[in-house]
Amino acid sequence: MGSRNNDVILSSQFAAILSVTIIGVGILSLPRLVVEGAGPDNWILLLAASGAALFVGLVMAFVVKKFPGKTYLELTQTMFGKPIGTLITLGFSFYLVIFCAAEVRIFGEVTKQYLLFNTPLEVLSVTLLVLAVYLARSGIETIARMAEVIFPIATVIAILMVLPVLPELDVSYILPIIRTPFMDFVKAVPTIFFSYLGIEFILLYGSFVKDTKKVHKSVLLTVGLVTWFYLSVTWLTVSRFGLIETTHITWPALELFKTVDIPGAFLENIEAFIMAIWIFSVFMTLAVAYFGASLTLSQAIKSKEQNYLVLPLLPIIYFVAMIPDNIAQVTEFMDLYAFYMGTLYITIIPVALLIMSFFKKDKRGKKSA
Amino acid sequence: MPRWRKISILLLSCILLTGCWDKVEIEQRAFVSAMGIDKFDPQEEQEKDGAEEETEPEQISRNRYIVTYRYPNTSVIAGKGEGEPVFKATSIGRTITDINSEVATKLGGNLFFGHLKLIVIGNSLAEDEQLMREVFDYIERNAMIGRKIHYMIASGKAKDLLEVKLARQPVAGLFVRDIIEQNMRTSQIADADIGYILRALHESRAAITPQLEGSEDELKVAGAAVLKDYKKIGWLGELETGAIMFMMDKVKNTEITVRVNELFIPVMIYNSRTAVKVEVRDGEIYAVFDIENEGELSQHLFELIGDTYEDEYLRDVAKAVSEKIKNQVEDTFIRSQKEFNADLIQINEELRKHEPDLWDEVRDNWEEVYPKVKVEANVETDIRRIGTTR
Amino acid sequence: MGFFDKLFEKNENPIPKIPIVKDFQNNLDQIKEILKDGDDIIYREFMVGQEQDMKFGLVYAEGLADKNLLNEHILQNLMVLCRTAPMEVPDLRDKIYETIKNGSVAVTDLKEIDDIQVAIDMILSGESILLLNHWDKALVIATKGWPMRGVNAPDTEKVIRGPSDGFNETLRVNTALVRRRIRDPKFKIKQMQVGQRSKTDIAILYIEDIVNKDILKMVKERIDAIDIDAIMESGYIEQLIQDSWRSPFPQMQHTQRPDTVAAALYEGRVAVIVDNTPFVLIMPATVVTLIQSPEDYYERPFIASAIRMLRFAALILSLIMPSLYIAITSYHPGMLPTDLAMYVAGSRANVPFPAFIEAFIMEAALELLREAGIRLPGPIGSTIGIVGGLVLGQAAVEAGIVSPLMVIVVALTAIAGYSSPSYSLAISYRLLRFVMMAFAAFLGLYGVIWVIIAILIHLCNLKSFGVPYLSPFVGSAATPQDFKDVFIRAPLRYMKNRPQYLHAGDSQRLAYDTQEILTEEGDGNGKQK
Repeated sequence: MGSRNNDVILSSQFAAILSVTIIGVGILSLPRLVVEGAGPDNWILLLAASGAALFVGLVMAFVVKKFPGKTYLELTQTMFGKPIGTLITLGFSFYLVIFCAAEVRIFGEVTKQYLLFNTPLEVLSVTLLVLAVYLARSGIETIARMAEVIFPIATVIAILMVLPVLPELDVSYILPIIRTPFMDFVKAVPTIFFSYLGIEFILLYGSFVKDTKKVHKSVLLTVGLVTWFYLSVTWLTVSRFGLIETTHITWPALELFKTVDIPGAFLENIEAFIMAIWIFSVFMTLAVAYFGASLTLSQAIKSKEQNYLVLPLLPIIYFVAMIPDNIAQVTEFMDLYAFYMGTLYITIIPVALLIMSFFKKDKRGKKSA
Repeated sequence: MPRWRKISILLLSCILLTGCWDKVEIEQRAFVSAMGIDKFDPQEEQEKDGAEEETEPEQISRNRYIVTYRYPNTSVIAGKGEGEPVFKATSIGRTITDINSEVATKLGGNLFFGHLKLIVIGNSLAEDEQLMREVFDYIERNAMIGRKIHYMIASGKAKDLLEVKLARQPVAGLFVRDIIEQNMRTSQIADADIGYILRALHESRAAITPQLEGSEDELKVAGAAVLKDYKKIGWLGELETGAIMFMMDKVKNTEITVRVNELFIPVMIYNSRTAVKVEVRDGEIYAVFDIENEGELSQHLFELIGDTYEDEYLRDVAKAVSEKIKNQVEDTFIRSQKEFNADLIQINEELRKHEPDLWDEVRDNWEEVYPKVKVEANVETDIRRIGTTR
Repeated sequence: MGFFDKLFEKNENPIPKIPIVKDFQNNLDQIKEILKDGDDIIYREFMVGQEQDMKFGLVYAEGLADKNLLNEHILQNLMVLCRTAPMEVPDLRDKIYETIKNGSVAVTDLKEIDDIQVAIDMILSGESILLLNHWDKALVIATKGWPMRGVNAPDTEKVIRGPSDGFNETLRVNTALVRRRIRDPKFKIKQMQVGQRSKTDIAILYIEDIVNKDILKMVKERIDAIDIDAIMESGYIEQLIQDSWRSPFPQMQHTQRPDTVAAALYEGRVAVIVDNTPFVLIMPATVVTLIQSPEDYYERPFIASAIRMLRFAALILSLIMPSLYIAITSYHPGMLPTDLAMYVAGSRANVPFPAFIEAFIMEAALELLREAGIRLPGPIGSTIGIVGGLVLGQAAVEAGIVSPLMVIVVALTAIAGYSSPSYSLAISYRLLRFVMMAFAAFLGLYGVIWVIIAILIHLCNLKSFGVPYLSPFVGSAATPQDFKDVFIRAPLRYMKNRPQYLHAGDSQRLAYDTQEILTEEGDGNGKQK
């Protein structure tokens, strides 16, 4: 097994990890959610959600910068005291396990719908989980490299695939501007905000970053890139399907590519190809969350090596993923789950950490920075 | 080697060895290239002698569709086998899915819809709202069926059209696509694929679909059917279809013949652009179509030298062309209001985008408001080329 | 400098020393005893001096020592010339070494030793040992000279433009070929012996102020740690010192071309030359170095860039094409254009096997052909190629066992695979191709993606001497500068730095103002004479 990594990543790699993590299964249904939420004002909704994501992201970046090199457990323990810190870390691990399970389940459902109709869901989930185990065991450095490789490849291919749709981009669909009732709009923001699920990893992986001072730049870059990505997907989908049909389709972003004709290309129906790229990004989300789950668990139970905890988590994630009966249940559960657990770990804890960090003056942290 | 690795390898191989769930070799698939859906009519079926299925009385009520599939004989395409280049299969049943599986069992193969190019709907089915909605939902829900396929309404029965033996049988067996592409270039037909139709139906509950006509050895796309509330409510002629295409900015090439100074002058139109606007003037809603064309004069009169080299004259011709298009567009629009009350151009979407306040007012009774919308077409045509003689 | 001195400190000889004594016969007997039954060792005893009173013994291994040199410059001098022109040294016994060195033995390299074990090593590596009566030392005469291949053009890694000298099996010749290209005093050739029995000479080559010292140290330590009976080829060294033996990917580059080695040294890499083989190891290797060909740098940048991109595409194609064929035909025929899908379906109409078996048979047949072609001598090898490729393929298609498209896919795969400049990378791909085909047969496109992800994870994990294998795509040290030599080969005037991911000591390669000067001259119209 090659030389063991020394677990240090750069802020640029950090940004790549965050980007591939945030862009996951959500991208497929995102246009529907956005249009459902705000109709023609979808872009404002997206920007508002990204603003919220940026805010919590920067809060977390601030905490990371203030206490460089501190693990999640250390952070929560110094701020809230030992037992609560351990509890929060354990809860985070639990949260990530469910996150993984949902990711795996949706991956399985989409793949079954578009690629392999008769292959059992179990096989699809287990095979993907095995890969995730492999990557999660390899450590943060390998994950960082993987993100660095996959992100540009996926982006370039996605852009190439989108080119044929571009001429039909119809910007008039953003009209009329700001007609959505304000309350509807506000109610819709959290839903879209949870498309940025994954931003909470800033706190978790911030401790690995070598040049901590640039963490806020990574956050900016990540949120910017992801928002741009989301915006372009939404606009393309809307100009292809119109507002009303977009809300009818379960996974509009994928359906979009059924309408794409690449003139004179070797491949005709490129949605299978898009699926392939999408699998890459889902896999990265899964692996990063998986690694996070094992990492937080190892921190919480004070195990030295995170490696040994990876494989035992597989059956747990697998069984949790198999609990829901159908895709409707998955979505329902995800909404609830994202609302409560997501809010807790994305907004409440980082903000609480920020507030507490003003009270606690960390002596060692600042000097070692 | 750590134990986890052994376990995972074991696990993986177990999974894989039981595998190949989806594997269907390409030659065992029947690539359905066209599908015809008709309404099952019990009486008609009984009258007909030698019906394919013995229909028992209690079965009749259960059967609702007749589906015809057309799929190519791939061996012929690869130049390996002989025989009919195209196979056909027909069956009846309650739902399309039922019929699919029944036919698949009968063929001993797998029906594959990934390369479906055409769905033809029989006239009688097109008039049945319930069945039409079922068919639309089937198409929209099916992950295999693309959104670029053609959806047409037959003037008669879809089954008959799919069984037409073409005089010039294309080897590729993709007769549908060849015909459509041929038609696209030459005549004014509705450029409407299923993606557009679904979207239009979602937006204004009205759409046009091309009409497919057939004779002994010929298939022709001519005119269009008007869909309103998911069912067919009438036909449009070729010129009207052309006018609708102008309004939807989907004209690529077309030909307009005008009469100037007792001469019939055909003008090839290319580079046509349409901008749709909705304006409110004096409390009236106006649908404004700004159409800009470029054209080429393709025929004049022999030995009449000089005329076509004059800008003035060309402008007259262009004006006549513009006038003609303008009339067509306005007439067709009015017909869509008066006769069908079907918002084929999705004026409601334009209204929603550009006049949101007004739209909020009329949103709920758009059905009543639409017929009152005034139409205005501003057509501008430039004749750029006159051919090789003066 | 301390660093380098420490790095190459001699480790003590574990074999106990057997001192040379004054008794001539005793010394000779000792050697004879150790080298008993070595019938290729020649012991020549002769008398020297006017009175024939000095007993000399010459020991050498026949075939390894240069007989002409021994005859003409040693034996003749000592036996004949010394008699005619007596040596007028008073204290001959004490000053024998100086006398012989300065007066009688006309060879370039003489050494004095006092250990029989060392003497034996020397004999076995081709030197001659001169023993004298009543003297407790022995003389080593550099007489290495054995039949060897000339400096021929290498069989592999052929280029159209570029030098065609290649390494041969002799270490000294090989180091000379590299030294000719680097006349820099900082260029170091450090020699050592590896192998308990084989005592193979190994030379570590590096340029002192360019090389990354961590990498050099790692190379040195790993080679030192080798304790094996024999080193037959540089492949032994490669396998013993590579980072991950489980990986199918080569973590070192091997070459027969001195210009490749020199270029690598200038980039800050380390080369290891092993005696008895023309294959020189270059480390660390990254996936990019395995795709670069020396010719890329000799040709014009545009064409070189285009060819390099073609090579990248070929590598990817050769890996995924058969599995993509399986996945598409057996799982996702919707991906093909309709006409093609129908054609494929028709052409497979009577093929009795599923696509996977079909592909497997063809790929296996291809591998067989390749293997047979290599083993057979040249002309027959090409016959096998023709018979196998054309006749077999044609017959298989006509018999309907495989579809023509499959033959095309397999042939394209093979050609694409051959286009890789690195043979070891190409063969690792051959293996992965089969794995991927198996997964494609089970899970279709998802299986292909699955294997690609698995390979990617493995590649991300892999390091070659501390350098990430996927550099410069990943890794903290890579800079955008490095991409000037990845997919494209930037014009030389823009490649101002050595690869950054290697952390080379002196990273600048081209003076920063060169470009302006070159451009100025190019614009000047009256400068040519």
